[in-house]
Parts: sequence; structure tokens; C-alpha cells
Amino acid sequence: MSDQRGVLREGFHRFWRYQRVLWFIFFISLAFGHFSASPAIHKLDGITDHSLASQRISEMFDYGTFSALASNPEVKLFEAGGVSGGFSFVFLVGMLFLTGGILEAYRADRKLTTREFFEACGSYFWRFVRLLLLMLILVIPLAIIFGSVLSQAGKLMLDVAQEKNGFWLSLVDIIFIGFLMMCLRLWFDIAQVRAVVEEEYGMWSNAGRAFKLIFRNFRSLFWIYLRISVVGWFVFGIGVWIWTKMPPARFWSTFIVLEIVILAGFAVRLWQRSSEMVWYQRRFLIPAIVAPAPISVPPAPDPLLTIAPAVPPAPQT
Amino acid sequence: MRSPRTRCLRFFCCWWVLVAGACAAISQATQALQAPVATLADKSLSERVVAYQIDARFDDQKHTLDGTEVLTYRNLTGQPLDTFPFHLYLNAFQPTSTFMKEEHRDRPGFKWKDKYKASAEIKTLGVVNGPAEIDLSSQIKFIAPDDGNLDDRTVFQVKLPRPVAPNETVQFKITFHDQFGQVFARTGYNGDFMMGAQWFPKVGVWWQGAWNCHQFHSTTEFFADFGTFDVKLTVPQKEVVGASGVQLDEVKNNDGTKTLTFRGEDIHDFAWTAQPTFHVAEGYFNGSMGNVKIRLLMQPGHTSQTERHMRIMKETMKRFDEWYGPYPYKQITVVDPADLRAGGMEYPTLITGDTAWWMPDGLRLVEQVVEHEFGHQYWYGMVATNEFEDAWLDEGINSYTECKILDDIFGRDTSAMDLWGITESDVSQQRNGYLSMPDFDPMSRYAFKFVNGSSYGEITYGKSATVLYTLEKLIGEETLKRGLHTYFMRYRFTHPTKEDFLKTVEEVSGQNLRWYFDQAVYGTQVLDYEIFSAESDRLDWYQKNPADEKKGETMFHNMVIVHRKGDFIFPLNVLIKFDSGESAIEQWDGKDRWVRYEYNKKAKIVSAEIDPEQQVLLDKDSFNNSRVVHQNARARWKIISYWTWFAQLLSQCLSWLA
Repeated sequence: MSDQRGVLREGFHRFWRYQRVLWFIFFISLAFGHFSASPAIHKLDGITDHSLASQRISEMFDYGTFSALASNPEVKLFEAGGVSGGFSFVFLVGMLFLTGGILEAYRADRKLTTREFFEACGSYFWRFVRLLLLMLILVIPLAIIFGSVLSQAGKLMLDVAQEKNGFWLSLVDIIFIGFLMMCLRLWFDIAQVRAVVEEEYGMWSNAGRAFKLIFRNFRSLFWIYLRISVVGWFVFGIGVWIWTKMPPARFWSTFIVLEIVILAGFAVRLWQRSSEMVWYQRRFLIPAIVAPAPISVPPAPDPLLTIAPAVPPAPQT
Repeated sequence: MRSPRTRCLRFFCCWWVLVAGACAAISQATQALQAPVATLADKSLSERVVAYQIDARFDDQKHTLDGTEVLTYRNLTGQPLDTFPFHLYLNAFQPTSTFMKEEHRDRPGFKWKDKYKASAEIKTLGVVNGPAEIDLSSQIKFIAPDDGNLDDRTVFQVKLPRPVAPNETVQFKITFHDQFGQVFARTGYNGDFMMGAQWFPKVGVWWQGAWNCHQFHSTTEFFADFGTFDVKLTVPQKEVVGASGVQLDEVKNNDGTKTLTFRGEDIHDFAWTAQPTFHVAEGYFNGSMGNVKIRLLMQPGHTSQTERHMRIMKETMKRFDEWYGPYPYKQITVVDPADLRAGGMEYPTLITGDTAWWMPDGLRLVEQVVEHEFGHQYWYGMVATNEFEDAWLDEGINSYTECKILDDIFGRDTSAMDLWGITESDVSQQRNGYLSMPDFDPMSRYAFKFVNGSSYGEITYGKSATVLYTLEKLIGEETLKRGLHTYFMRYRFTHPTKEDFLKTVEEVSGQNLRWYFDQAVYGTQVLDYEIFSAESDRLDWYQKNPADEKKGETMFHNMVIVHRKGDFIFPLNVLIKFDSGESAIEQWDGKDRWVRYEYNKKAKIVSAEIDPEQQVLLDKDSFNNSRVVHQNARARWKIISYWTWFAQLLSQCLSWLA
């Protein structure tokens, strides 16, 4: 692991240098979030904006009032949830598209022109789609296992004699499947890095080589991924904790706090990407600089102690 | 050889022992009759129509119970009775029972499992006729008075060889065998936990000139006569047992079992529970009739919540005692069941709660359930209404008093939830439940005749509580409290009807409330009034070049239209506020479809609001009850901001796949 010292730091520096990518993604996410809320805006404006009852939502957060509003036949708020799902899917496709440009920027470690950035996005898009499909083959069964174990844990939790077992089962499920998912993500992250750095086209073979790479360097790579993830989880936890402590009437402040949480989530993901790129480049592209063996140099003669030789030295042949 | 004197002495001694023994027995019997041991009263509190003596042995391995029951029935009906119906409710847990058919109908995902199967079988049934006992086992006939389902075996009847005359008593001797299933609905086992409810043959109630003995339905509860219960329960020695009434005795047997003796007085049902690992905690409530022991049986994993249970019990009992009347029993047992399907249930002097080890204080589920089930000691336990035919009288009144008491303890806005800045009141939970199915069934409908289980629940609990909250608007909160107190004191230990309750409220309030009860209790009308418009228009609107508008100088024609959208008619107050700081309160009888209020003032309308005190909770839509002239989008933006954030979070999670 010693040869990977500073990967996180350099990864963070690259991520920071190209932070405009972060802002770009964040504002797209914010816009999509707002668009996905637009059906709700239209459903609500005629009902809440001129009603005194809405003060129970704006000045506090009375769940009963919100629940009555959400199930009001003229509102049926949660029917607008499908739009959010649709926007989330579009966002996923968008992120898949942008990943090529992001990785290219991290690879080149220089500011890409807009043209270069989007050329890279387009160039890698279909390769990444193929990688995503490959990953889904593994993610879907894991998700099914996760869901069924969680469902069993839920059943156990209904039985008081087993409720703690249910809790522990769900925790083990989350940790174990979460760990496998992280490994999967790491594997396909490296496959994406390889596709960009090595200009790979065959995604099956690329995924196979990435797997071997992960297998051989699992500890160092996972350690990089995990440490950054922990930072993300910590920020998320702190953000939500602050949110619970804020007065409900100050919802713009709470919105800012929650947006910082979202921003941090994207930042953490990009930091992971840049660190993986740094790790790969250090491992395979930059030749290791072997420090030369120290040459023992005789100490310089002390001029005060130098005694002229009695016999002149023999001429060198 | 013994002398005659010795014989005489021995005869005298024997005679004396016999006399003394007889006296002691008579004295004990008299004491049993006259000095209650399970209540704080100095005499019997009810008519005691029935006296059950049950000797039962529970096998914790097979989950079976074998019992003998001696039922002494006093015929206080005023007429001879020759037919007696009995409940045998464990038979509801069979796939062809009416109960299970209704479960299947109302719960699409419901699947029958053999482990739910339970049964109660009558081995012998005899009636004591003088010194002899006539075997009537062959006379047992299962009946289905509600739906004619021949496969339903939850009610049987027997015909006696001769009628029981008025004021005469009859004694039945029954041996029975129970097979419990895994807990499905409040009775049965789960692991080493056992809840024994509806476990013995229970006679029906002669009520309103006929036997009232309904089948067991998925939505219905119970109805039985008051009396005494002397129950001997033999269980393995390891078991910790809780039961209705008070425990009088415990004897350890040589076979590894113990026999516990319980006595319940002036109650109409008897339930028990057993589990070796119950954690027992005891406390006392000092009520107006004396000290009541609160016995908690907690699950080992829930001991951290013992204090929470004890606290809500004491707080609840205090308010019931002060507001509605005294709790007269010596003990109340609170069971934290090992299976949630046994939770949230009431039996006389024994209730079951509902919690989980992780339950945060801000979620008041524990308090809601414990308070509610204790409330049933009043509305069901003592005021023993017919839960089949007038379910709202126990569940509805109890939901109302639950809300009032939790409001008083935790505050109106936070009585159901106060967590992470999110709040909810208990009454808004009840109201929202009602709003989900407001117009299918009236409150007065028989419980098993509702369109489905959801409608039954939302109307019986939610609407009833909301109706009583709205009634406060008409007669005042304190008057309704007095009405409930009067109703309780007048009808405790009897079987009142809905009219008894409604007339009591009318009597106490001194108002004719029939118009309200006809709509709210007997009808399905939905109440919805709205501020249709609230506008201000300049009086000089016709002028071509009117002067600039000046606050306090320009005259406006202000107009508010209130519209009755629903078919429920209710008198209303309307509060209109003007930008001059003035306000006007209008009263409308609510009968017409709409009403218009007009004001010519040097001020413009700021807002118009129906029911400014927000007491008419029956109003379906609280958002259209007011209209603020100037738009205020804060609530909308708050919802939108959260919506946006959740959508972003969803996108972020999904983009992890990219």
C-alpha cells in the first residue's frame, strides 16, 4: 500500500481542479429535481397558496395536515411521483454519458475544452452502456437477494421474540450486500478507467481484465473507495442531523443544508473516480522511479590535516 | 373397649367440628358473595347474571387446554328460557368459518396457513336438575344467526328439558377441549408465548327481548353478561402468568405444574397469558376508590420501555378517574405480547400493548395503544355496549377519549408524533382515517355489515372520534366531558344502546341534537364547506379616472361567498378580516347551498375563514375553509423543496449505477 500513498490527496486535487464538473452535475440534478416537482407545483398552487391551513405546513411540519393535503382528491400528490422516477432515469442516462468526459479530464489532468469534453462523452457512451448492462446482470440478482432477505427480516421484526434477530439480519443484509455492491462498483469503475486510459473497445474482455486487476489489488483499491465513502456517509449523517435540529419554519435554510448534502454526495463520487484514475495511472503508466543505490563518497580531506605525500603518485595507465 | 361417656364426647366433638366447618363454609360463601375481593367496592357492582367456575389445564407443548366449566346463570329476563346459545369463538380460526371468509374477502394477500388452525370442542354438556345432571351433549346444535354459514361453528345452542323460570338459576356443567393455533387474531401461541382469549364456552346475552349471540366476524369483538369468574389454571411451573381479575392462590403440583387461582368480579370475560420469560413490573395508581395495582408483563427485550408503559398507565388512569369516573377494580394487568398479532387488545382488567424495542419516544405508538386499551376498561369493560351492533360506542368513544387524554399529556399538535421537527396529532390521524372512506357506511351499522374492514375501521374509530370532536363545537368541550361522565356513571355495568348515549348527551347539554346525530351517526353525509370567493372591489369602479387608491380612504365593496359543497348541513361561523384591522364574524345556518356577505368599507378583505376555531373536524377539506387574498406560497415551496431534494437523492442513488 505504500506505493499508493497520496492517491487520495492527488485524487482530491484533480477532482478539485475540475470542480466545474461537480457544479455542472449538481445544477443538472437540481434542475431535474425541480422539474420532477413541477406537477406537484401545479397541483398545489390553487390549494395551499390562499389557505390559512397551509400555515400548519409552512410554520411547522404537521404530518396530519400534509397527509390530508396529499390525499385530497384534487391534489393526489403522490400520483406525481412517477414523473420523479422518469427524471431520475434520464439523470442516470445523463450521468452515464458524462462519465466518459469526466474520466478523460481526470486522465489528461488538464482542462478540456468543451468540445473535447463532449467528444469524450460521446466516444465512451456506448461502451459504458455495455458495461452498465454487464453490471446489471450482477446487480439485479444481488438486489433480489437483498430485497428478499430484507422482507424476511421485516417478518421477523413483527415477531417480538425475533425482532432483534430481524434487525440484525437486516443490518447484516445491508452490510453484506452493500459490500458486494461496492466491490461491483469498484470493479466496473476500474473497467471504465481502463476503457478510457487503454482505449479498450471490447467491454467483455475489459471487464475481465479489470476483474483480475481488482482481484490482485483489492485491498488498496477497496481502501481508497471505502475511505472516500465514509467521508460521504459522514457528511450525509451530519447534514441530516443538522436538518432535524433546524426550526421547521426556516425551510429555505433547511433546503440549503440538504442541498449541501446532495452536493457532497456528488463530490464524493467524483473524488472516488479521480482517485481511481490516479491509482491506475500510478500503477501502470508512470514508471516506477527506482532510487539509485547510494554511492559511498570518501569524505573530502580536511585541508588542515592534509599531508603532502612523500612519494608522488604513480602515473595512471 | 370405649366407655359410653367417651362415645358421647366423641359424638359431641364430631358434631361440633361439623357445625364449625359448616359455619366456616357458610361464612366463607357469604363473604364471597358479599365482600368483593377483586374490586375496591364494598358490594357487587353489577347484576352478576353469570358465575363461571372454570378449572383448566394448559399443555404448553401441544398448545391444548382441557377444562371443566360450571356456569350458573340467573334468569333475570322476566320470562322463562328454555334455549341457551353459547359462543365458541376459537372455532373461528378454521378455513371455512365466517371469520376467515371475511378475512379472505377483505385482505387480498391473505393466505390460509394450517398453523392458524384452532378449535374448541365440547366434550360434555349437562344441566343440573336438582341432585341429578342431565346430559345435553347430544342436543348441541351449531347455528349461524348472521349469515347462515353451516360451516361456521362459533355459536351453538342447547335446548333444556324444561324452561328456566324468571329469577330461577340454572347450572351448566361443560367439559371442553381447546386446541390453540399460532396467534392470528389476538389469541393463540407464538413460541413460548401464549395468549388465552375466547377460550371457554361463553353464554350469549338476553338483550332487548331476545338472545344476542352473534357469530365471530373478522371485524367484530364481543358482548357478554357481567358476573364472576373463579378460574383455576394449571400451567407448567416455569410460566409467568397474567390474567383478568386478581390472583388468590398458587399451588405447586408434583408433576411440575402449578395451579393458579384467579377471581374476577363484575366483569364479562376472562383472558390470560403465559410466558416463562415475562419481565414483571408493578406499580400503583392511587385513584378515588383506592389503590389499583398496575402489573406489567414485559418482553425481556423491552425492559427499557417498562417505565414508559407505567408512566402512560398512571397518566391515563388519573385522567379517567378525574374526568369520567373511578376505576373500581383492584388490578389492571398490561401485557406486552411476544406477537404483535396479540397486541392492542382489551379484556376486562387485562390489556395488551404494542411496541418494538427501537420505538423512539417521539413516536407515541406505545402511549396510543396502552391508553386506548385501558380506555376500553370504561368503554366496553364497564359500559358494556354491544360490540357487534354498536361498535362505535366502544371504539369510537374510546378513540375520542384517547385523543383528549393524549392531547392533555403531550399537547394537541404532538400527541401522536414529535420527531425530527415532524409533528402529528392523534385526532388528525383519526380524521385522516375517516377521510379515506367517508361515505360508505354510517357509524350505526352493525360491525359485520360494513362494506369491508377498512370502512369499518375508519368509520368506527376515525369518524366516531371526529364526530365527537365536532360535537364539542356545538355543546362545548366541558359539557361533552360532563356528558361522558354522566353516561359512564349511569350505564356502567349495564349494556346501553346508542340511543342511551345520544340522549344522555342531549340531556346534559340541554340541546336537541337530533339533526346532528341523524347526519353524523345514522347517515353517511359528508361535511364540506368552502370559501368560494373573497374579493374587494372599489365602489367607484364605474369612474373613468378614479382617484389613486389610498389605504383607509378609498371605499371598497367587499364580498365573501361561502359554499356548501357537501350534503352534511352544519351551522358555521365565518370570520372575515380587513386590512384596517377590523374583523367581522358571521353566523350561517349552513342550510342553503351558498351565502354571500357584503361590506362597504374603507378597507379591503385580507382573509375569510370558516370555523376559525378549527373545531369542525368533520369538514372534509380544511384547505378550502379559508381564503387569504394575498398569495402566500411558503407551504407550497416548502413541499416543493422537499420534493426536489428527494428527487435529487433518488437520482443520485440511481446514478451510482452509471
